[in-house]
Amino acid sequence: MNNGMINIALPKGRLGESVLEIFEKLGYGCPAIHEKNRKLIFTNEENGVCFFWVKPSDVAIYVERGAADIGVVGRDILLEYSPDVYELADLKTGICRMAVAGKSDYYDDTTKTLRVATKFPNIARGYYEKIGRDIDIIKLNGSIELAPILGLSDVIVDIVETGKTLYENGLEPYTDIVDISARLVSNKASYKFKNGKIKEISEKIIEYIG
Amino acid sequence: MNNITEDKITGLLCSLYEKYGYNRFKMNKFEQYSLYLENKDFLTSDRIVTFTDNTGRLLALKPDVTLSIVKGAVDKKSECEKVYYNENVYRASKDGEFRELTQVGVECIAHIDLYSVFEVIVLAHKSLSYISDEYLLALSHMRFISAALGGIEDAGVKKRILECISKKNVHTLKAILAENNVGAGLSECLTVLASLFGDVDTCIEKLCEISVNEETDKVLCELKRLSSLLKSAGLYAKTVMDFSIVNDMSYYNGITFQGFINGISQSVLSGGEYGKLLEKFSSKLDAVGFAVYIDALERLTAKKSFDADVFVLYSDSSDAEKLYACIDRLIASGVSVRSGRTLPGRVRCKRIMKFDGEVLTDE
Repeated sequence: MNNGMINIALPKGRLGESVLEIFEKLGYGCPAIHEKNRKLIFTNEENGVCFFWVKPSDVAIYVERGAADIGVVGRDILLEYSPDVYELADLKTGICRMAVAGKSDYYDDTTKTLRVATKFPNIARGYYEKIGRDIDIIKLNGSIELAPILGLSDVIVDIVETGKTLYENGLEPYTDIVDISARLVSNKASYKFKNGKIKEISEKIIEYIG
Repeated sequence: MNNITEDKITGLLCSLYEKYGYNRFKMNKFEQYSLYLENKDFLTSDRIVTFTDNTGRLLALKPDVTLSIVKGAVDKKSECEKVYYNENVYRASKDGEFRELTQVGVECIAHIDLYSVFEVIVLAHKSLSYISDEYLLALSHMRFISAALGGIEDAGVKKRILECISKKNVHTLKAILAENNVGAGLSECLTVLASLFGDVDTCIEKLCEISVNEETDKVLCELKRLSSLLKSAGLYAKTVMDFSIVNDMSYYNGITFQGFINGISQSVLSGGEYGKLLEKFSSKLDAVGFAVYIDALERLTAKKSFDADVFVLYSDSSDAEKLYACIDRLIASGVSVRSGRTLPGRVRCKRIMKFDGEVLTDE
C-alpha cells in the first residue's frame, strides 16, 4: 500500500457506518465505499485515505500490527485485549456499558463459586478480582443471555445498551462495571512516521465531537 | 536494504560496538531464577522458563541480558563496564507461548556523565541507520515524568495517569485529573506530557512552559545540551521527543528512548538510563544501554524466494571430478548452486542447467 496514505480500519456494522459519516463530514470521505461491489479496500488518492471494514474485535489487531495506521474500536475490546496502541480520542458514539446481569430472581450465594458466562473473560476476571469474589469463567462466543436461562452460569458479564434483550429474556442488569464508547486508536510507529496526517485527523475529530 | 539479512545486521552492529570500545559479553545459557524473581518488574513479562539442576537449584532460561550484566559488574566491583551482547532470550509472547528472541545491545555501567549518555544515543542512532534510512529515535525523560507525578499522592491514581501518558489518552487523563481535583498547573503539565510529540527543540520549549520545579528545570538543561550535541553530530533530524515512552520508574531514572523503522509496526530498539537498578544491587554506579530486537526486523529484511540461483542436473554416469570443477567455477562466478540427479518438485531455482559430461548447458 502507498506509504503516504493513511489506512483506516473501521468496524463492520452500525458503529462503523456512523463513524464513516464523521470522517466524511470532516473531508476524509471516500466515494468508492458507497459503490455496490465486492471490493474490500476503498482508496481516495485525493485526500490520502484508505478505508477497510473488518470485524469489530479485529480492528485493534490490524492497528497494533500496523496493517492499519488508525482505527475505530470499542473500549470493551481495548480493555479485554490491551493492544499496544495509542488511544487518541473518545468518539462518544457507540455508547453502552459493560454490566453484570442475571435472572430477575437471581440471588448471589457468596458461599459458592460464582459461575460467570462472558465474551470478555479478562474484564470479568479483573472486576471480580477487585471485589474479591471467587469465580468460574465460562467463555462463550455469542448468545450469552442463554447461559443463566439454561443454568449454564449464575450471571453474565456482557455489553448492555438499552437492556431490552435482557428484559425480554427475563434477565436484568445488576452492576455496571465500566462505560463503553468507540475510541480512535493509532499504531505507535505510524503515529511517528505519519504524524502530520494522523494528528490532523484526530484533532479534527476531537474538535467535531466537542 | 533489500539484500540485507538479520545476520548481516547483527554482524554490523557488533562491529560498530567494538569500534567504540565495548567488549563482548558472553553469558551463560542459564541464570539463577532468584535474580529475575527479585527484579521481576524490570522484565517485560513475569513468565519465565524454569527448571531444577542436579543440586536442586532453580535455574531459568534467560528472559533478559541486562540483569546478568549488571550483576556481573557489581560482583566484580567494576568501576566502568562497557559491554555489548548478542544473545537469545526466552520470553512469553502475548498469547502466553514462549519464544526464543535474538537481542543485540550495549550497556555502559559507570559513573555516567552527559558524554556517556550521548555516546549510547549515538550508537542507537547508528544501529537504526544500519537497518534503514527511514528511522526515528524517540526520546523521553523519566525524571521529568516522575517529578511531575510527585504532586500526585495516591499510587493508584499515579499508575492510571502513567497509563494515560503512555497511551496518549488525553480524554481519560483529563477525566482522572478532574475526578481527583488536581490543580490547574499540574493538570496542564500532565496533559501536555500525554500529547507531546515532535522535534526536540519545539518539545523542549513546550516543556519549559510546564516545568513544575527545580528538578524538571534541571532535566530541561540536560535536554538542551543533548539537543545541541545531536545537532553537532548531524543526528537531530532523526530524533523526536515523545513522552509516551514510559518505563518502570523504580528502575529508569533519566533519558529513555525507543527506535522505530518505517514499515515495522513496533519499536525495534529500546533503552535508557536505569541507575535505580544499580541502587537495588547496592551500587553507586549508574547505567545506560539499549537492546535491538533482531526478530522484529524479519518483515523488513530480504525475503528468500529461491532455494538457489542455479540447479545443476547430472546423471548417474557423470564424472564427479569434472562435475565438481564445473560447479566450482559456477559458484566462483558469484551464484549459488544446488545439484542433484533429479529436480525435486518443490525446489525453486532461477536457472536449471544440465551437465553433459564435460560442460554445463541450459536445460
